[in-house]
Amino acid sequence: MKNEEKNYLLTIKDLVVHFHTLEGIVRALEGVSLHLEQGKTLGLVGESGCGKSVTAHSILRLLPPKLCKIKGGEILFRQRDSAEPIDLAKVDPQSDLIRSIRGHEIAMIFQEPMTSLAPIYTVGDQIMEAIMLHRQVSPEQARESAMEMLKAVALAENVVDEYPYRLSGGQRQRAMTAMALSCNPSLLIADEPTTALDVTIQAQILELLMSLQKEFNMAILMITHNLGVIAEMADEVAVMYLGRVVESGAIEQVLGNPLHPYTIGLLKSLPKMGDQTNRRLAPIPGSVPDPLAKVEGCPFHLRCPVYKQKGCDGKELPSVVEPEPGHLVRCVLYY
Amino acid sequence: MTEDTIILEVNKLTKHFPIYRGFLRKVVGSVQALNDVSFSVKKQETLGIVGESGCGKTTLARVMLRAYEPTSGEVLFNQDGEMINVFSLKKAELKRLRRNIQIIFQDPLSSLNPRKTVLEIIGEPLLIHGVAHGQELKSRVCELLKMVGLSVNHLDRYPNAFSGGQRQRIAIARALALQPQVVLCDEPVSALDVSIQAQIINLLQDLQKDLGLTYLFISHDLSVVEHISDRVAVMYLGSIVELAPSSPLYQRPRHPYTEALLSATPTIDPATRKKRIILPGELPNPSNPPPGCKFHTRCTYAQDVCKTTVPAWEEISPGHWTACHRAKELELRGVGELKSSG
Repeated sequence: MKNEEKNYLLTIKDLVVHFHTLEGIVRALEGVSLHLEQGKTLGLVGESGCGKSVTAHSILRLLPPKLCKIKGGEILFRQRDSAEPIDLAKVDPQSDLIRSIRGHEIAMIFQEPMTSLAPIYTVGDQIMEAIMLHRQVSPEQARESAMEMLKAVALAENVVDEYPYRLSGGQRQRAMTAMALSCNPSLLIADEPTTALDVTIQAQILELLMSLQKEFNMAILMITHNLGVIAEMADEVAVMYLGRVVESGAIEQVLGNPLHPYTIGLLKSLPKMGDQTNRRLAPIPGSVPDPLAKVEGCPFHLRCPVYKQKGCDGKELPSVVEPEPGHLVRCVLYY
Repeated sequence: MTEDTIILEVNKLTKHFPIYRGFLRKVVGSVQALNDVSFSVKKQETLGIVGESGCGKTTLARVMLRAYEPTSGEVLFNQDGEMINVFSLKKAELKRLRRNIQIIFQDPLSSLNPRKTVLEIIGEPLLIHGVAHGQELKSRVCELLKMVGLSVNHLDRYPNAFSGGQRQRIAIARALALQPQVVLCDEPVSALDVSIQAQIINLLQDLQKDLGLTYLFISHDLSVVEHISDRVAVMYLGSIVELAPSSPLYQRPRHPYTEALLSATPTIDPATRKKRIILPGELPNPSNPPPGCKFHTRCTYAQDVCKTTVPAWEEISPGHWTACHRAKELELRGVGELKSSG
């Protein structure tokens, strides 16, 4: 990370998050570093259990404080009116400061729009709640802006008085997006926003997110396991495996010229549409190790096809190298 | 290979679920889950079925197994050269038929009994059909485990001890226990991570080659279906709108819905961000489908005739069937062209 401190909106440095469960310690994040520029989209990909969602939840400090500890690292976020970034990792998760950031400067949309909307309040009430919490407005004005937001996400204005169960999955995700954007956040965290949706509806939502991003000039942290969605949406991408970022860079670099054996494996195991050669898929052998186990050395060496004895399974984690500008990879092959 | 032998034929299959309302449970309408679905499957081929949620994919699989009774239509199964109608069978005959048609479900956690060991789960169909018991059963289950790439040591473990991919392997072993000819795969890889998904797809393909299986592969993932299928049927709101060998269907679709589906699917090639066709609106209510062509409410090419007349199911080129009024005149874009236009 030679890049001198640019004016990143969000910089995560060596974030370590552990869960203390009854069965033992789950090392969810083991030194994650990311950065995101204003108005850009960063994609975070990886398979289940790699720590994508934990990263997102740590930024907003939504993780259960008793169970989960931030062991180290920084989450630097540049607030709207201040020159100096604040470190969200040090903020008390129940303080007024983080509450004023949640939903106001950093908003989040979740995967399952049914479980993340309250079933007994109307959509309008829920959007108004967010607006009135962060802005000094009257209920009438809040309702007015709620309706405006619904229009922005291409929902009919009368949705304002509907209950979530009356809406379809795509409409709910739009309502959720309207709520997230109602306070004009500078960062939107989208955690698998389209995974529960059909492809035609997914296309609608992705298109909507891209146009809203332009309109509001916000940054998006897009979390998904779907590489296709990342390829269409993101400017930069970070590939995670077992709580670490194994490769990151511009989208063209990482998907066009993947370097880490895990990224290469992921791309090879995907069937490509329109590829008529009928080649056999090349899956990554084995499966993700038990989350309670501590993997020494490179996290991927147990499944790696080009596993080199030297340095891969030692005590040391391979360090990050930069084979081309902006393209970072954590693998001994590129030393 | 005995090519072109038809092993399964579905004729005008219709399934409507009644909607009850009120104290007297009066029937006030029906959800039209399947409408006049017809197709045939050849021996040892894979027929893919794609469509969005609510289009009737799963209902189709369940009706074919007679888990639901159909409203009308027939399913013919080729049993030793004789086409028998699944719906006219008596209970004992149906049990015999089910040895030949098995199913793999989407979620391997909810389709495996958590209180049974692997031996009991995979051995159950063998016991029910009186194929094997005791030591013979155990050795047969061991064979099946090896076949799907699991270790024999796993015999006495419970499903919760396995990962998603391993569970799906157990489900596959159970489906293959009775040496069926046809396996209905209902979203078998949708709940799995990509690297595991590829393992299971390869396993299914290997088993098909080794055992001469016929697959009906149901999925919403177009790229997976293209990869595994010889022919693909596209469903929309309870009907098949297009059916063709997979390469022509993906390269030159003849139904606007297929074109839109192909265009909406994100691809991993970053150099070719496509110009998407965004379908307006959402799936209409299947209890009150639109008149005429069911797709006309979302179709960009719809004309007046589409709103009133149901399009005929036509063979537009050899083996390529579609139901669209404008199939002959429209130049729809396939996967290749979508890329270059980006």
